[in-house]
Amino acid sequence: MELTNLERGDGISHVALAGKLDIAGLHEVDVPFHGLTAAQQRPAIIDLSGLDYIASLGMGMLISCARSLERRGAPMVLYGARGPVDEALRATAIDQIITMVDSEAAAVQAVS
Amino acid sequence: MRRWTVDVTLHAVSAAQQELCAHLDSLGVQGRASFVINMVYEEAALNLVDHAVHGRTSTFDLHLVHVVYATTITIEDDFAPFDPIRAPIGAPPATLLEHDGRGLGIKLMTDMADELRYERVCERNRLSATVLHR
Repeated sequence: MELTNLERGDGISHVALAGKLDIAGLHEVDVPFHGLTAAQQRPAIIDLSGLDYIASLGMGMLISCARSLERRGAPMVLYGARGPVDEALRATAIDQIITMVDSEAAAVQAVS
Repeated sequence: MRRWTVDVTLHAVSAAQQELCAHLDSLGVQGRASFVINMVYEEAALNLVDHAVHGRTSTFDLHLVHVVYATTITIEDDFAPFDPIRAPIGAPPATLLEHDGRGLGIKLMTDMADELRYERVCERNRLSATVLHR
């Protein structure tokens, strides 16, 4: 599981998740992901284009960070989800509570 | 067929998940099929870690059957009866602030498996999910 901090320098947190967000993957990235998103208290965009797997445990991490940011008036947007990752997020209606878009440009626009 | 017996602990469930993924790779099960088998395992096993009570043992059995057109995962345990297919699923929370992250696993299993079956056999729970190779 890989977590990458993609510095933008424009007041938006930009993080990429890649690999499998399974039990072991969550254990690796949960705390640093919170540190790069929720703890920053500013809008965040999350690149899921390299993510191969997510289930309810990993979705809980996304929901927790997005909720924490929302309480401070900062949106979190997911982009680039593909294949079964995209299917799973939509099956659980995550796309109804966290904005999901196709591209980085659309994500930046959504949080601006 | 491949079979594992797994302790109902987070550490053992996670270790078995890595073995399951490696075995799926060795069988050439990839993409959506691998995703769904892995997801059903994670959801069912974590449910046991969180909620299982009144078992004669502290383990569960995991079976994987792979044929040309489909893969089936079966999870058997001797804990208190629990049928996820009949478990009530409420409407998803309307807002992010109301969402506590619960109830997603059952929705994932019922929506993404091509077939999901539950039986109570010889005082054991048996949950099977089949995913077709597309």
